Amino acid sequence: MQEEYKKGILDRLADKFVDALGSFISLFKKDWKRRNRSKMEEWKLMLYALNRSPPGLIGLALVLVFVFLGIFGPMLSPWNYRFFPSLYNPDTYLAPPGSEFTLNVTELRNGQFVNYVTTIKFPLGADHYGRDLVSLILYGARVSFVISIVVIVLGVPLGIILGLIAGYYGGKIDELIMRITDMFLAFPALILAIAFSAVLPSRLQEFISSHEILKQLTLWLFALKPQDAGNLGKLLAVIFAMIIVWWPAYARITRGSTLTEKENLYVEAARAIGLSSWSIMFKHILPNIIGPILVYVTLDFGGVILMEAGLSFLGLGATPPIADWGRIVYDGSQYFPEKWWLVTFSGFMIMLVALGWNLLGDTLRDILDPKTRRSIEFKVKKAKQMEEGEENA
Amino acid sequence: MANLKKFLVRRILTFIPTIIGVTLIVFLIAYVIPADPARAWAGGEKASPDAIERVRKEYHMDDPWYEQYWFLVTGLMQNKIVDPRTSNYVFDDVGKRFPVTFELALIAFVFIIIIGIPLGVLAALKRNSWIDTVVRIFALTGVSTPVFWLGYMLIFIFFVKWRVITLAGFPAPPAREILHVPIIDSLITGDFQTFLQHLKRLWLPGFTLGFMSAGVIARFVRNSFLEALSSDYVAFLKAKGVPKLKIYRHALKNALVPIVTVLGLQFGGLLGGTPITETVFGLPGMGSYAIISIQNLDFPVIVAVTFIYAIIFVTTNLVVDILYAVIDPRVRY
Amino acid sequence: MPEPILEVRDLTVHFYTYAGIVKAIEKVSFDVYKGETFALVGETGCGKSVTSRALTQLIESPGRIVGGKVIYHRDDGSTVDLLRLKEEEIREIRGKEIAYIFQDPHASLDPLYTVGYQIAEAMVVHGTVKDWKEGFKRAVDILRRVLIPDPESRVKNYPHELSGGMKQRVVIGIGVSNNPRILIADEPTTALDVTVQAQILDLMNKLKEEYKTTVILITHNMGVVAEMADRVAVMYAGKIVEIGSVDQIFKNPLHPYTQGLLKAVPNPLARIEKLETIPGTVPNLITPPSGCRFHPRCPRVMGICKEEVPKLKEMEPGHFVACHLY
Repeated sequence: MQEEYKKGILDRLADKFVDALGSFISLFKKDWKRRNRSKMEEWKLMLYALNRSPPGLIGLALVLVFVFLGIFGPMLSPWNYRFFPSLYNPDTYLAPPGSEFTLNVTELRNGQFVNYVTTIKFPLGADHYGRDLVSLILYGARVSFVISIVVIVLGVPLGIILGLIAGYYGGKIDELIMRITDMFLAFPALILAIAFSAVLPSRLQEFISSHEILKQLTLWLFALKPQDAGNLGKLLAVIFAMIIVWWPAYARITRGSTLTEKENLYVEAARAIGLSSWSIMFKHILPNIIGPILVYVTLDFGGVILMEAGLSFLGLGATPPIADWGRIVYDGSQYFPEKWWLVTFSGFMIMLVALGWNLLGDTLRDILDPKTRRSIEFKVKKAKQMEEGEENA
Repeated sequence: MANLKKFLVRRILTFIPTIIGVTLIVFLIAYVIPADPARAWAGGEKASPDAIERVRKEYHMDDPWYEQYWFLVTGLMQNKIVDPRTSNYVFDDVGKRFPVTFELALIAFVFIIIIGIPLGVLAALKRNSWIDTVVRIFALTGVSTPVFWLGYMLIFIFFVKWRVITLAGFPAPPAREILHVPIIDSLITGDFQTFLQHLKRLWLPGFTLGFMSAGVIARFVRNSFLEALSSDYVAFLKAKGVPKLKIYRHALKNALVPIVTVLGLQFGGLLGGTPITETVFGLPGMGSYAIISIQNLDFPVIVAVTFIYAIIFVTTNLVVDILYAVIDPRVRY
Repeated sequence: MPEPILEVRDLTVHFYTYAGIVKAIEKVSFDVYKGETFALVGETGCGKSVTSRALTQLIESPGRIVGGKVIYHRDDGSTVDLLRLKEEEIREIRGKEIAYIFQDPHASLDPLYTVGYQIAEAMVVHGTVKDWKEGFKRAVDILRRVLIPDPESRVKNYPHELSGGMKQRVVIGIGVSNNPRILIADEPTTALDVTVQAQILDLMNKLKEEYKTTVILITHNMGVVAEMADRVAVMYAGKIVEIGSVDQIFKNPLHPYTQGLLKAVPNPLARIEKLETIPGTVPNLITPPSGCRFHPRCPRVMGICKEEVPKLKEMEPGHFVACHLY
């Protein structure tokens, strides 16, 4: 019985992680680590609680794998997404999983044609260009990763800021912001995103083509070759469309929490000593309401990835040859079910990643929910007591 | 009753700005498109300047945007606008496809209710047991599964392996039409043949569309039901000697108040999911039609379709409000 | 010799929580006599509510009745152990022969049903009325009897349309609707305004006279005890420390805890100079103090108190105390 309360290797890892995080913050804020001992202690307890939830750990593992693939996927990819084997060997067209082919490649290198022979393996099969599905999935991880990060990083703060302003100031500002928010929320998000991502691309394409640095940066972010610069407009349109439909939910949540938080005495006290509205909002109210919002963010990462996949599936996002999971399913659906692997494997990846974020978010919600929290806290406190007892002995 | 009427009128009046707002947003984003739809509508690259000019005039494209908006909306309302691509009246085209989408969402909704509510109640009654865990995993898997992928996997099983569904065409409506939603009409008129045909074509797409929400609802029902069961009035009902099943009825009715709201929101979510589901299962509905129209810069249709989606969404909200008032006496009109 | 209606013996209830096993009540024994008002008093968390609910097995998971007997003397002279009854058998007794009134009238009523429905329901489920129609008719009578003005229209009201005092009247009405032999009132006035409290207590006394009901009153308010009760049991940390008549308890308290309790509140039956507090806090019931549970706070603690659990001893007729002093 007592064994399960003992600190495991994961708990020690959590200790190290929180300590490192504290030291990191201390680099920017002097003495942060020393002055926020109890806060770090609380973070550690939360991580211990996470360590005791198998679904949460599975979720965390899936998310970490996704982040890893999102960053390093294109580098690990055995083949470039712009290498089209069917040009050199027509048999590679939709080759089944597990097959292997010899390619007689002619390539233009430094202005000279180079001939060489190579073999290509298809562990998960090939698409209609004869491209290896494993490579495509690795490149696609980057696209999903970047899009989800950008949408969340831009959309969520936008919603939070508007919600804070609406909740804090109230009155006409509140009315205006919330009416606009309601208008967006009064509509199925996917339909709105479809409409936006359909009409935005040409403008965005114009814009990105005339800003060379931005173009290079975007190409680099998505790990794309310069030949695909013409396809960036559609990718960016999807990102824009999702930001537009994503902020209203956060505006509403934040406004609600701000309204309740505003009633607290400390806000009145802060106002009484003459702090500015901005510093009250961002330094005092925001840190107190951010917990539940972060849970939503975790769950929404899954949502963003699913919606992005849905939009690309409808032909609105990345265009071939850019590797995008939703798009691979769409292209594969033309050959489904005879050539089942394209739809099956890339769709499964989307599901795994979304599931990872959802498992993690659901567990975090349990940990942050005061109702379920007490029992979890008890267990981890017990673990700490055991630990301290051990040290004393 | 007079109160209810007043309440309804007030609610409908507050919905009008929402509908105008939504159509305006869609119109404006269509308006900022730099591509020239007139050329596309007049026949593409080879269109003669005359033809383009005619199209521009017919659709008031040289007017300021607010006049264009007014022309489009009033024209659509009176169904006077002809779709440049199909040369039919816009609402005739959309109207043909509307029942398909509505039936699809309806069947998905029925799936949500018959799967989500019993599973949620079961999970609550067997709290912290393996059933509860299974429901939780089902819910999380549901929200994580891409609709289109699930659709293809189910097609593989039911179409390719077992051959129990069809993926082409759409059955005819019943002989007598009342609401112009075939599946309801055929039930009312007792035309079970037609009813079964529609059900046979739509049950799998409906299930696919509803799968995601069913898990969400199950989780939500579980939590609200548990909350109701742990309340004081349930303890008092027990002390009164009320039998278990009757106590569950009390608790379920109380839990229903928040559940109805979430179900209403889910119906909106289902509508949002129809374009993908219709594309996967080859259904000639409004959602897949919207996608085709977008690809063809067919703005009148896009505005018309968003208009209809907005109206359905707003009506759902209204129904939720009314149900709320029916269930919960604390809500005043 | 008064005739017992309820004999409680060694009643023990534990709650199995994450933090450990909470020994909420431990070997509680007392008798309740026919027609009397029996008060259970003690601080919040001493187990008096748990005791009252355990009498008819109203203990929810994670709680469990671990042991004991509750012998109930029926009208026909037969006896039955309430803790042995099956779910359906005890349900038939609950609300019909042994009825409850809970603390918070705002939470006791289902907000979605009219008060008439909820009163009628109590009678319909026990078959004391023919049908719902008769139930509603009887509900009007009951509302009149609990002194609700204009009962004919009030019967159609929802709980949120009534004030707190009115709601508690409805709850009492539900309690007495089946003419129960025992009425268990768990802090019936705590959640109400002070002005309403007296009215509710008056109403309960009146109904008790009318129906010849035995009342078990759970309260922490000594004033209420003095006004209502015939006999009193004092509970501390899940154990009964003293039982006696109201006079015996208020005039001659024997247990140091009872003495402290009476000094801590204005004593309605005796003048005291100055209110005092009992030092220390209520013990943790997961690891309760050994021996007498009051010993860490007791001003007259002795060596034996830490080691041996004191038994209830009869000091004068009808006056029992569990303390090593005697």
